[in-house]
Amino acid sequence: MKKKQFSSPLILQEVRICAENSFLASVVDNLAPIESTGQEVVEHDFSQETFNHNWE
Amino acid sequence: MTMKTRYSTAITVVLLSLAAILFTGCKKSHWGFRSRPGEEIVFKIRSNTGSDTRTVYNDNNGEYFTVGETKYEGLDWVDGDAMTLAYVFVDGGLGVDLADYSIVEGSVTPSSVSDGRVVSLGTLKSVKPNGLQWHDGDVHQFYATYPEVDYDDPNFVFEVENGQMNAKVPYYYPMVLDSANEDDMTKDGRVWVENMKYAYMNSLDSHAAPLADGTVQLTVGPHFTAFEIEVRAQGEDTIPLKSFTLSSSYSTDDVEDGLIGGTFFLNYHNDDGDWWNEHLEGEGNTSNSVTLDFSNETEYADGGILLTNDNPIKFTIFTRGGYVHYKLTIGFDIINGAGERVNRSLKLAHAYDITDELSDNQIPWIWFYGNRKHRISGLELPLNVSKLSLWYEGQTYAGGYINDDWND
Repeated sequence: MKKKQFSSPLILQEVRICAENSFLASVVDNLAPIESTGQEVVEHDFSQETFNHNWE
Repeated sequence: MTMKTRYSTAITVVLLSLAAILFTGCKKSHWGFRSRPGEEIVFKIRSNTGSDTRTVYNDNNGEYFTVGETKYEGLDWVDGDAMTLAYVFVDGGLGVDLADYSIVEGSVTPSSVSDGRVVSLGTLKSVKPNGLQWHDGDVHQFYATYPEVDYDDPNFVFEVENGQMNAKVPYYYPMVLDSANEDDMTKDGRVWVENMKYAYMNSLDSHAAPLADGTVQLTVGPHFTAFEIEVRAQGEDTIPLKSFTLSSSYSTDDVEDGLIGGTFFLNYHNDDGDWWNEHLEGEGNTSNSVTLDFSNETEYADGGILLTNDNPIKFTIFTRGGYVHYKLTIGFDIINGAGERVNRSLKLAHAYDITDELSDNQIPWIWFYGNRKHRISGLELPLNVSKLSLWYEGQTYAGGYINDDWND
């Protein structure tokens, strides 16, 4: 019974997948440095009298 | 047990162990999922990398980065920053591979202005031994989302069905933040900044195809809205502050729904090889307000911060990003001069004549657009208030605040 487990299709299939993954060529290793853009800043100065200071 | 039986058992154990190793190893290193036409692929399996590094703001020592008249703060990569890359291909059928990549230690170039843009650079490497691998076919599109995706999140979906791909990436913007919880906020003196794990970023281009030399250039930008708020007490007052709430008000006349906190999904669809993304769509637990709770601070004996005029506080919180705009009200939960717990609120609007008694839709709200960092300064919180109209340069402004004792 145990010998049957070793030769089960499931295990053989996993071995095949592993081999396929290990030897696939052309790995995407040529990514250019990734860019992070800045965040636009908008200033709101509420000390200026043109703003509403109507605290409630 | 005979010698032959023991030998057979030993072989069995060895082979079982080998099979288990192969099985486990394959699952961990197997990144590729290939679709066949009409076949659905759903990625909900792998756990995230547990990365705890995050981008950092770069304010250029307070000088800002400028491009024309526009000011920017940089979002610098940090060594080990992890993100998820998606690779869309047509190889016998539409498919997508996902893999986590991280910023190589020592590879970061801090933000600077280059070619009319503010950019920080970082070199990527695959987190696991097997990264993305090329597929045959003419379609190669790449997409990045930062931070890395939590593959265990049951809401995360990347699927191909009937030749169309649908992806939903959950973004969670906390609705309640604890100023004393390091997982929510970092604290430096009297400055609090929300954990940068909520500073979501994703590809700015609808898709990135390989350049002529085969390299892939990915550019990501902020997909969160930041509010940096500085507030002090007015005059000689000392004000115990328990919490702060940012609320988005809206009406049925508005296109936007006004939701700023909770769980949203960035939806991507693929049609004939083209990407586009949609606005963040709220689902389930969402809110039109975000609260920063100071009640676990100890400056105030009963829990809270003590505000004075010469000792302001500054805090930065993040809300829903995207191509949205809000009209906002800020509220401070304080202990007033009578020892009562009250809320001081202020509509963030341009000056208007309060004698007109404008409706919510008529108030000249300041529009706060998504994905930007809004720096709100000059706020002086009154301990006690009553409304007062100011006559200023020929116009009556809704404005001013006076201490109750001035009315006596």
